[in-house]
Amino acid sequence: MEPKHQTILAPSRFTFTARQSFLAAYRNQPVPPEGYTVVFAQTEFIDTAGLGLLLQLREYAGRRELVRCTQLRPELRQLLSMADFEALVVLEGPRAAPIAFQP
Amino acid sequence: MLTGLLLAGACTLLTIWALGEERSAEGRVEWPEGEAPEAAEAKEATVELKQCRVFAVVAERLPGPRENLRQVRGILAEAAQELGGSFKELSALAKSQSNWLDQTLQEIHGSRGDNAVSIATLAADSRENAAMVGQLAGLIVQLSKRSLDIFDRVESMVERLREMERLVAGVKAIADQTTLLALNATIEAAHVGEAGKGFEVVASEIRQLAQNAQKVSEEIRQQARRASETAGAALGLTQENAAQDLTILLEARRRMESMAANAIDLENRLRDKLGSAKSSAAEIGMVNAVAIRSMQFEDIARQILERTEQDLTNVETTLVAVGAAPATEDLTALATAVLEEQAALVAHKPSQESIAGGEVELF
Repeated sequence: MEPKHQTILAPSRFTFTARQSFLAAYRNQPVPPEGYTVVFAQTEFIDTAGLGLLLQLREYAGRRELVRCTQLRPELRQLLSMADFEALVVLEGPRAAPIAFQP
Repeated sequence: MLTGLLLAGACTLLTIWALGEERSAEGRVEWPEGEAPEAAEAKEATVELKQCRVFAVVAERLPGPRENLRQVRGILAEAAQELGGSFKELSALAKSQSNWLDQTLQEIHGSRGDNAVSIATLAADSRENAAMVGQLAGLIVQLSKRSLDIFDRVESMVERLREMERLVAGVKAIADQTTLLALNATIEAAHVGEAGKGFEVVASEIRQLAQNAQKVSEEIRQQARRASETAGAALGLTQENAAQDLTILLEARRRMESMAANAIDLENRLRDKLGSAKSSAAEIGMVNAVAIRSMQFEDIARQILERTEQDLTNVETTLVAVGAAPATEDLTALATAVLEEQAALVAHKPSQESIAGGEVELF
């Protein structure tokens, strides 16, 4: 079997409750995938456990380019950026508007 | 009133000059023909006597206008002094305001060189705090990841403890079977009789060992279960540690960045406003300088009034001299002489005719 790119659909709440299915989606695969894409199209909330799961995936994959987080909502992308995930994984999705003067 | 006085003085002088011109041109007034020279001379003496009286009366009235002129000069000087004082005070205030604005601008820019907190510093601090909140979020996520790693391992340990329980259950089954086997051996030994006594002892020992093995297996099973329960509790705690909501931190960071942006905006607006205020202060200074320069009108007006006063004095002196002279004297020549004498005594041309020129100290 050829190595393939693994796509994982994150749930609406990407928290500890997603751990079991998230780990099962990429660990113990018969053929190790060449890269992973986590789709956050349905995700509305991520806590530190969710981010920790992403870090575990990043550690498992080995390189930044091998983990892509796509279809992130602006506020979630901002959350990931704040925790410095830009340096760890590839983030895709609309950026939040820059913070400017608030009258 | 001043104009009226000047006109009156001018009229008087003109009258004297006119009389003088008439006398000097013809030397003598022509009388109608047929009149005797003696009679004509007597009439002329009478006219000149009347003129002398008129001059004396006019001369007596002149101190009044001169006093008026002096009063006008005094009022003018006083008003000019007060106005000048006000303008100077305004000038000082504008200068003080300008200095204060400079100082405030320096404080805002943080260019004073001391430890004064500037808005720019506040904005930089807010940005730094926002970045630190980001670092804190990163650390919390790293901790969560470690908790998840621990969770993985503890979970794996719990799995092994369960496996151990299964193995111990196997050991217990073997012990049970061994007990049964020992019981059968004891029964068979009894069938053999005296010869089986030795086997009976051995079977009893084996049964004892199997029962001990059962007890140990049960203890191990219980211990493994307790360890599994403890690990399960640790998993719960680890899960709680791993799951933290970062929304509050994100909001805190957003507010700090917003504060920094607001501070920068405030600085820009303050700089604009203060800049406008500074230009206004400079404009006030310029306008005030023009006003102070215009105050020279008092000097010019004073000089003109002094000259008018002098002219009045000259006219008075001339009138007095003419009024006191004998009727036979050449009054025109006398008036001319007195006027020239007075003119020679006083150099009364004002040094400046216009307020357009002159230097004024500007700040």
